[in-house]
Amino acid sequence: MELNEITLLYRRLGPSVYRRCLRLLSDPEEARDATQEVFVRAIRHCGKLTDEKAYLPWLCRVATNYCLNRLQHRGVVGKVVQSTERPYGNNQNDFHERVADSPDLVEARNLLSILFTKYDERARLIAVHKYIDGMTQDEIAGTMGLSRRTVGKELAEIHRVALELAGR
Amino acid sequence: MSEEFMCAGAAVGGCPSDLVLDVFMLDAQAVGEPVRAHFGSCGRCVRRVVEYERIRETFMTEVAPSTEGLVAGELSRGRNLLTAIFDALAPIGRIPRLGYVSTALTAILLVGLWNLAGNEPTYIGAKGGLSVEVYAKRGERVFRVKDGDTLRPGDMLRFISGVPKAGYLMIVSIEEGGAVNLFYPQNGESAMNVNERSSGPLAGSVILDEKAGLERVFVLFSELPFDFKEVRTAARLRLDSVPSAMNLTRLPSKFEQTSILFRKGGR
Repeated sequence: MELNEITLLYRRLGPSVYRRCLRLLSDPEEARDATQEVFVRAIRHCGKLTDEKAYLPWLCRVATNYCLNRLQHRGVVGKVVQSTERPYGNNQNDFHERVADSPDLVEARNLLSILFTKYDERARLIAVHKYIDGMTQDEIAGTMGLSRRTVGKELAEIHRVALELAGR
Repeated sequence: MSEEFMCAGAAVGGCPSDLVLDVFMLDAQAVGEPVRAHFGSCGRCVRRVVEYERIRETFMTEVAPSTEGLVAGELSRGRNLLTAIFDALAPIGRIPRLGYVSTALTAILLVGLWNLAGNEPTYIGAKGGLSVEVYAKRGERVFRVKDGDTLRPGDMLRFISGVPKAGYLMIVSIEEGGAVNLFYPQNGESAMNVNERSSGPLAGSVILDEKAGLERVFVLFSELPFDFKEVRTAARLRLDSVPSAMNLTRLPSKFEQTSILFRKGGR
C-alpha cells in the first residue's frame, strides 16, 4: 500500500472508525488513540484490504474488538450508569462530552458491562454488532466471517441470558 | 458496494445498521433508493446522519491532523507522514524553478516536482468545497500551518488541496510589498486541470526566502482555464485599493477561492 493511499484511506474511512471507537469508549482521547491503532493494524495487514468494499466491515470488526479489549483492561465490568439525558446543542466545544453522555451511549456502556461478565470474545462481538451497531444477522455473519446459523445461535443464547438477567 | 448494502436490514426499529450508515456517508449512491429515502425521512436516522457529520468534522479538524502522521508512519517505519511526503521528493531530485520568482524574491525557490503519476487524486470524504491545508517542514519537524502562524526562512511548504469538481486550480502568494508569486502548478503558468472532485497533496514544494513580512497564500479554482498573468493583474489591481485583501476580485471568470495568511519572521 502506498503512502498516498494510506492517507486517503485514513481520511475517508477514519470518521467511521472514530465514531465507532467514540461510541464504545466514550472518551475522545481514547477514541483517537484507538482509531490510530486500528489503522496501524490495518496497514500491517494491508494484504487483506484488497478493495474498499472489504475495508469497512473489516475495520469495523477490528475497531470493535480493540475497543472491547480496552474496556476490559479499563475494568468496565459491572458499572451500570444512568443517562444524564442532556439534549444536543449548538456549542461544539462540549460536543464530545454530550455525545459521551447521550442515552444511546449510556445504554451501550451498560450492555458492554454485562457482556464482559457473561460472554466470550466472539459472543461479545456479535452482541455489540447486533445491539449497538444495529446490524442484521447477515451483516454480522459477513463482517465476522461466520455462518448466519452460528450468528443466530449465539444471539439466541445471548437473548436467553439477557432475559434471565432481566428476571423474566 | 455489495448487494447487502443495497437492501440492508432492519435490525433496530426498521433503521439501517451503523455499517450501512457508514457506507451511506461515504457514498450515498452506494446504497439503494429505499435506504436513501429512509435516511432522509426517519427522524432517528436524520439525527444519526447529523451526528455522523459532526463526528466527521471533528475527525478531520482535530483527530486526523494529530494522528495521520503516526498512522502513515507505520508504513514508513516510524517516520512522520509528512516527513515521508517531503522525503518522497528526494528520489525525484530538487528542481529549482526560478522562472516565476521576481527579483525581490530571489531567495524563494520553487523546488521538487513530486511525481504523482499513478496516484490519482481521490475524494477523501469531506463535504464538497475548495479547501487547502498547508504543511511546513523545518529541519526534521513537520507541522501544519495555521492562519496567522509565523514561519522562518528556509521552511519548506507543501499543500494539500481539495476541489469541489472538475476544473482548474492555482495557488499564488502575495507578499506584504505586493509581489505576486506562483506556487502551483510548478510546470507552467496555466492553472492545473483537475479532472474530478478530488483532494490530496499537490506536486511540488516551496522554500521560504529571507524576506520578512506578511504573506497571504490564495488557492483559486475555476471551471474555466486561466493563467498566472490574469491572476497577477487582478491581484495588483486589488492590492492597489485594498492592501490587506483576503480575497481577489476582478478575476476573468467565476472563481472559488480560499486563503491563508502567515508571517515570515527571522530565524
